[in-house]
Amino acid sequence: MVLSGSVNDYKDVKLSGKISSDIALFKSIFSRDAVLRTREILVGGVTRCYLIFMDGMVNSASQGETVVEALIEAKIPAGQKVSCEYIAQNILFANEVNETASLPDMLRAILYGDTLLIADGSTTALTINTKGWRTRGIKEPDSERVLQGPREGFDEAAMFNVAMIRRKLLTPDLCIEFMRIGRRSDTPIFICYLGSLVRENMLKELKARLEKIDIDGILDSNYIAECIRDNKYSLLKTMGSTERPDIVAARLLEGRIALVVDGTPVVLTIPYLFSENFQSDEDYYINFTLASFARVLRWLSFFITVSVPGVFVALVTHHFELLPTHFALTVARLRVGVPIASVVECLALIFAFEILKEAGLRMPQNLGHALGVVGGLVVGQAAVEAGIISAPMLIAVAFSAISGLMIPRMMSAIFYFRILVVIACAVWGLLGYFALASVFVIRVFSIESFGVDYTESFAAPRFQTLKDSLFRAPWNFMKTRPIFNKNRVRKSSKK
Amino acid sequence: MKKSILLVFLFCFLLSGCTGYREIERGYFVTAIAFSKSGESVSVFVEAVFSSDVTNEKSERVVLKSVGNSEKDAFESLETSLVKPLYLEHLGTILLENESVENIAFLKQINGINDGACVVKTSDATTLFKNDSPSGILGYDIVNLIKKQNKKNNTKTTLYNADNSCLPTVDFKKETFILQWNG
Repeated sequence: MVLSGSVNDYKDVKLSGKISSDIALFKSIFSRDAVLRTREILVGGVTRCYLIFMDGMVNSASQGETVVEALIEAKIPAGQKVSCEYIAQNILFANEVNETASLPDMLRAILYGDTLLIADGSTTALTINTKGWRTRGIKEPDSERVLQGPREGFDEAAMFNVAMIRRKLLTPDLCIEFMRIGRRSDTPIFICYLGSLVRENMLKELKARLEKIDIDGILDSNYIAECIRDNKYSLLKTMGSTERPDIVAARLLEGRIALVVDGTPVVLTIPYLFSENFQSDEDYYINFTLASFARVLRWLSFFITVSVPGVFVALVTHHFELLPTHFALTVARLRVGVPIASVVECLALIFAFEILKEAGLRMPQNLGHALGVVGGLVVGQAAVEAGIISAPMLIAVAFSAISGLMIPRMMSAIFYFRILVVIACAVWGLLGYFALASVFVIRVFSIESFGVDYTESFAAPRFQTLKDSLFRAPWNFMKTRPIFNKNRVRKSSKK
Repeated sequence: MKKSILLVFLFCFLLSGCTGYREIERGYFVTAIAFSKSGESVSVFVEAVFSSDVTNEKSERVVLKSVGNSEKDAFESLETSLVKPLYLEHLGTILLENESVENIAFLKQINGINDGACVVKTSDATTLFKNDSPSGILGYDIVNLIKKQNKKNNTKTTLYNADNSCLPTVDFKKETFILQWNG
């Protein structure tokens, strides 16, 4: 038999009912797995049973109390045949026991921390929930810190993550569907949505795309995002991601769908709109005036961070007439002796900043601060004094870089946009800038995320569509849900 | 379709060859131009500023001169004789001697000339650059004078396209510039 590495390789194999050959089957499947454990128990003194599980993935205490002890101390009436069904109904104390005849399901159960029980004379087996691996615990995600609001974040166990979402939405309307993806990793995935809000065709489309994924393993939700997102090669995100259960709950309440992937704290949400790039988790936990101001600042920062280096290059290389005379003379004076062209200087500074940023991200926190001082002050100032770069260009790029930090959700895209704008401005001046801006606007308006327009809020701008995109209106004005909802009325106007 | 659009952009990009790309520090910022006619020849005087050293707090001033058969010819021969290009975007003043004033249409033949420059008359352009102006840059001092005068008289600056009859006259023989408004 040619094995693909998936548990489905064994879908045609059945248990024989002879305990010695069945246990031999499992041992042969896991012949090179040193952590597989088997335990033989004689139930009622007559029926041989085997417990099969993975060391380190089960809760030993729970397994001992609810399975092992129960089986050993079981009193079987005379003449009673001990089948899997009988054991499940009369002996085990475990809260979740399922009977299955499918070998792939048995293997999945063993691999996912359950205990498998096979009994002599039974062609079925019991999967007993004894999962008990260690998790990182609930911590505030480093990438999504807030000053006010909930501080809990997801960890790597999907089941616990789903429970955290459930705790936020105590309604039977919360639907949670389960599937597995990954030929070899067989990663559990949960699809969460509110049944009364989600648009059926969006859900159908998501499932169709998930089923098409053909990949060896899913180690992070980004594996899935890259496989199923719209505009796969676009720099702009078309799927949302978060590590915070409150954000997932809020998105579900807007009729979105969440994908919880086992093994990662990052939960994906769809659809994702362009305006979400400018929203912050904290926007809803602080006063709406402050949140709206911060949101406008973020839009402005996006414009600044993408445009400033390029426009500055255009002004000092093509359009001197647009600069005030004294400023033009000052820039010219400060550039005397700089050995490289303005455009090269600008690109070099952008790359230098990215290097410093990447180095800072991967370093321990204390070293990161030191690196910031060395990179920003020492190298920057020394480079200006040595005449390698000019101060105005350093200021333009630094201002652009700092503005970029205001929009963390677009950080990687912004880098490429900035480079493109600089090159276009160097080649065509401001004409290049406006040409590129037009291409960008056309492109953004043509993107879709699971059938929803990426710029849905701006396509037909009205207060109700802009209330949570350009600014954050107070809750009593939020009367409708986003346009992609099945049920758009959030709040009756009479109340 | 997408590929062809991309190719068109790529070709435009490659063929444009950074047309018009200039480095701001590698040229003379022209602040004033004066034209003087004597017989058949025309002299052009250019006041310009440039930076040669980053440690200098102020830009340096230079006066350049060239002669030609016509205003355009004189200006072009000046441009070709210089190592650095002339940047005319910040040109403040165009000084014309009386003969040149009669036909200022030639200014349109000079590429890149700043449409907002003030055109003024003077009796002797050759003495123009011998005078020290208050700020050291004559072209801008004249502009400032015109602006003040405009404000005082509630008039408008005479610009590049102005009618000859409205051109103000600058008298450089006096210790300070005095603008006398014709018409």
